[in-house]
Amino acid sequence: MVADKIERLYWRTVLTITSIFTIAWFIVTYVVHAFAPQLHKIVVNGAPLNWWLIQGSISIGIILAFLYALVMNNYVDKKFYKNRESGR
Amino acid sequence: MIDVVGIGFVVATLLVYIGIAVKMKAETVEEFYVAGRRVSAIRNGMATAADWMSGASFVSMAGAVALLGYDAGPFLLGWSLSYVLLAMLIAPFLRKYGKYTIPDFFEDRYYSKIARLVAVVMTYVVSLTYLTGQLAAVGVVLSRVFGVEKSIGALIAPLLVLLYSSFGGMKSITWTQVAQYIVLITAYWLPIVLVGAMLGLWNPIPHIAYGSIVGEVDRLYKQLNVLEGHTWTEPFVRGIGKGSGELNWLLTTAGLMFGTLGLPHILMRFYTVPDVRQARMSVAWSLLFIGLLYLTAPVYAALASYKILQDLYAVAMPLNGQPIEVVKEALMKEAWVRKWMVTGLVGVKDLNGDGIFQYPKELFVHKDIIVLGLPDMYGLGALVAAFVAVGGLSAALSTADGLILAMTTAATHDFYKTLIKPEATEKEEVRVARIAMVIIAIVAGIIAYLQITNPVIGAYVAKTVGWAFAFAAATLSPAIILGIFWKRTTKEAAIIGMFVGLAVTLPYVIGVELGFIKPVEVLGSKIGSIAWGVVGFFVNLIVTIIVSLLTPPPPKHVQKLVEDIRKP
Repeated sequence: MVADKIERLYWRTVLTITSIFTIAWFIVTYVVHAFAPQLHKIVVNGAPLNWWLIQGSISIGIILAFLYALVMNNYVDKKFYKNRESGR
Repeated sequence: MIDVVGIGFVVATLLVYIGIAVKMKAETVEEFYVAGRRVSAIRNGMATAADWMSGASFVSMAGAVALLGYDAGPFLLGWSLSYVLLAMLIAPFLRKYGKYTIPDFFEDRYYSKIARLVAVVMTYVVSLTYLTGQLAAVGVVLSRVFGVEKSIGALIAPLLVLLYSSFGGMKSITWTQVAQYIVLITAYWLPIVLVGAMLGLWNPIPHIAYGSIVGEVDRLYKQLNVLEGHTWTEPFVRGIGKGSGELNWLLTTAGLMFGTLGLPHILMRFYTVPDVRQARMSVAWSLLFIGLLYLTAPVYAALASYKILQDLYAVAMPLNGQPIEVVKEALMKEAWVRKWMVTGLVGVKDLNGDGIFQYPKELFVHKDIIVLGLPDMYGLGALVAAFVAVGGLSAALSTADGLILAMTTAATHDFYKTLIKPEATEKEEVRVARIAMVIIAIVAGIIAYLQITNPVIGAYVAKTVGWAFAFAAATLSPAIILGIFWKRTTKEAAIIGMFVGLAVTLPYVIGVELGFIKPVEVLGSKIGSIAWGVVGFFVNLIVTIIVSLLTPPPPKHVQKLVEDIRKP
């Protein structure tokens, strides 16, 4: 069935995008902070780099959340369900 | 003087909240539970941010950063970046599911009333402990402004919430929370805007330009030997939740994140937007609005620490070994220290009772001084200080609203309407909801009163707030995520998984906090109580997957439900 196939393809796309964003989230949340002792030795704009990464990670997180919403809303959903009112 | 200004501010803001609530009164069940699903993404973002950021976030978050330096990172990161996961893994799907409560989802997805009951119980465990903390915070602000006893303030607090939330459930709460968000964020930013101008930090914004002050704080930490030679920004030198080390830092961040994903009073906000697209956008807006406070907390911490190091530590250091009274007198030469020493938020504490001052451990700084005291440290005047207090009050009230509503819907919709009297009419349901709300608010008020007046109860309640995250991470969060992303998850698996998750978490969290159990050591890190929530999360996940594979797959209509949820 055609509708069935679209559904499966849509879900696979969602999972791919979710994985990519989850990896990005994992890097900004954990990977960079795991290196805090090394980054502590680098001073940027008067303060150690590990300190800046707290505010940096939050800022990138905000960007990730908006980017995810924009990609899903304006690209993925439209491509697969262009003629459908979204879930009411 | 502060009284007139403070009372004026408090009364004015409360009147605005009540006015909004009366105007936005809910008439139908749809309006009472989910605000008619007409809340736009940006407005829901503000309401969620107000719901999320408690009186403690407003008053104590910057203080935690000041005391723990870089090691307070898990609170800042865990409580904000969890929203990235919320946007991708939960919010849009819950919206598509589109009923009223989180227990609704549990019964439908796990085709059993037991699943609903477990979700109701967890809603109460998480929300009630949280709520008493909020009411206590309102009590503190009311006592500061009106001069009533803190305990009486905590008793009055739920009545204030009732004044505007019982009118119209989610519909009026959403609108008051939007107003409360605007008040709290303005109050939080105002001192930073002013001090930033005073110190020339507006190039381009204080959040970037304050780097030089962070560097100064680090230098003073070394020079004044505040932390045995360590600096403020040095990573992994201070403990969190009775644990310590790098691994504990990372796991605590994860524990707070996974816990956030299972908090019913936040999740239910995403039922109120019109559609799936708005749900995604509204999580992003929520995170932006939360970020406006979380990104500012480190600036507070640095500016206040800089003053505290100069006016307290630098003055007290040469007086090591002098009588306590001499040190007190020397510190009181500074006006802001004198003012706040009376309240007990800063001062000298003779820990060993020998009358002799020992630097630095007998110097005392309470974390709440960072936000409440900053206007005085930089001489901003009583007006600003009063406005900051109103911001703290708004933050506490807005979180209390959401929690009371979450418990009200659990009592009315999930318990009364579903399990006791399914034939209740819509009118009846709304009436029962209003009564339930009054009872819940009064019970919470009494617990908050006991928390303040009885130190033993107070000590337990303070700890349970942190536990709420560990429990949510070990029970609700995995069941929700697997329920959406794995069709094969069965009811037996989800229920067993939640119980095993709780069984793995409960003894360790309580044992470690109360000192019966020694924290487990891994790779030189001690795993603290909050971090342990991650263990509960993954144990639950694994148990649920294994049991699912051993039990018959969910019925066709449940599999169909999952497929429907996934479609936008």
